[in-house]
Amino acid sequence: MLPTVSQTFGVPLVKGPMYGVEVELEGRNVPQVTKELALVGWLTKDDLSLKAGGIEFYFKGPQNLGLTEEAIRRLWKETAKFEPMYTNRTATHVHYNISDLTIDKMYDLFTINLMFEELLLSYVDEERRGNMFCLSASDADAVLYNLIKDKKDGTFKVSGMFDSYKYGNLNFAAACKYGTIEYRSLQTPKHDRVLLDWVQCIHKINEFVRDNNQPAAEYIRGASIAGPATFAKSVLGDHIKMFEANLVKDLMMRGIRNAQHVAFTELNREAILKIKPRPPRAQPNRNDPQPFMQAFIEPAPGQRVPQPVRAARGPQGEPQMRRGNQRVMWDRPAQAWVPMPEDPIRPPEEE
Amino acid sequence: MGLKSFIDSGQAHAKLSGTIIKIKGKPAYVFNVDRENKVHWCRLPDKADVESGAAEFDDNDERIVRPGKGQRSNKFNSETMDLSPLPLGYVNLNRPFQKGAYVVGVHRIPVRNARVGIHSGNVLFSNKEGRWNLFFTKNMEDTMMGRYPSLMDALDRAGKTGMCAFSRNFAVSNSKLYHVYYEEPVGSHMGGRLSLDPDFRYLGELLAEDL
Repeated sequence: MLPTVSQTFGVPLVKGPMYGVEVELEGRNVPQVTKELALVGWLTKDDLSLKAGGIEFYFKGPQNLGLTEEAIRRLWKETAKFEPMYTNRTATHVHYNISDLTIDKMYDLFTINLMFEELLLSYVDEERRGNMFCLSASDADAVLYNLIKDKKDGTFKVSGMFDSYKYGNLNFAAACKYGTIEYRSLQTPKHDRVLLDWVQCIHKINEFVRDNNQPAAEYIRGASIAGPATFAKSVLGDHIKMFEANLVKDLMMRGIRNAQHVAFTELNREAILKIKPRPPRAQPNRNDPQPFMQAFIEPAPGQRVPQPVRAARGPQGEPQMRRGNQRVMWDRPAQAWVPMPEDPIRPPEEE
Repeated sequence: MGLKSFIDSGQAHAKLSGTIIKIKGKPAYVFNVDRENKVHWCRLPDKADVESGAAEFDDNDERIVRPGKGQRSNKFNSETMDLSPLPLGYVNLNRPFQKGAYVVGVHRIPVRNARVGIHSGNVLFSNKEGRWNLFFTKNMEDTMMGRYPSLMDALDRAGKTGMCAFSRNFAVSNSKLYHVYYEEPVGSHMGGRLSLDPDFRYLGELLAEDL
């Protein structure tokens, strides 16, 4: 049996369809969220790619679909009163767990995601299409070129080089860092319903792979026999209504064109079997005593909720550089240096 | 960051300078965005010096000024500037590349902290000895614009140079057919008739479209 993603890349093993979500928000009042609210289940960090007041909310750890949906609803409900702005800079990234899948199953999952990529992109804002932070396989085809080579040679150029392939719409490189596949193209929507539909759509696509033991080439053959639109409907069910009906066929065709290169390339099993399994890395230290799955339990009255570490900001909210280990303190007035009074010289005591 | 707006001219300079984007419908090299949000650019040169890497620029310092004033973000003229990804693929070269290759596949990498346009840091060459300066020419412009010889012209040229691309996906050598993603041939040709190997039959539809 081929090794799992966890054994290959040494990422923590998480079982089943689990999710991680990152939501970027901008707005003058948004930074107060972390001070005034204890959004249980979410952590925050400053995102310097956003304008002042930009914050990224992210999951403490992987959650199942039900808790993911609950967390999203809560985040939108709790942040609404802080009047967040939904600009073209803010995006939402969804991670889907693949750490428990074997390498051949990982490639099957990559393939079916490539088949649906163009269709998924039709759901996001126009500004997010062709955006340099989430380039599709059609726009940045080195992903396809190297996925073919990876499958043929038993290497992991795409799924193992995080910085080189991170800005793909489908970030396959998240496999080596988090044991996930990342969907980067969705903007931060004004209504949580958009994100909930998006997550459910991702769930349907990936569950199709988990539920079927057929190789990816069979998906392509199935789509060509049944027709791309029929195949899409059989996978997505009612969620096919998220997309414009008259575009589904063409968009699926474009995705299938990209996916077929990967699907019909034979996996080099011998080379992958020679890879020495790595022990999983330690869980990320979130500076938080709560276990991941208890993240959504309300803290008891008086219980101290750990606050996230935030980057230094100036008085106007602009990011500040650190000087070595010393952080620039803006909230304290500068103090004049006062010399310590010297001890008066005392004459030696007479014995 | 959006496709057509930047926080300030500094960000625009950081993301655009030194890259190839589409300006007025054709690829252009941006070498500066100044503090007045003017974009300084030039067309790709006819040829580049293979040895030193220096390119012969036209003295063509055209400028694009943003259309409106008083906007919060610097919106560039989207009618003249197109920041969407430029299509790549096979590049036909005028002179032999290392090891005598006249055709090289160029692919964009979704690299982190990348700039908007095409530059040496976000492309991958199918030939390991790929050198950026060779491609910073009209040959690259032909690829980006989808200008390729017809199949018959490509076959003639392949007889002289060994290989020639007739679309961004396919190229022909003396007797073989190649696809840009694969090192090995995907088919063959005889008397101008192309045929795909059984393992690559799925490329038939794409090949028919490209012909």
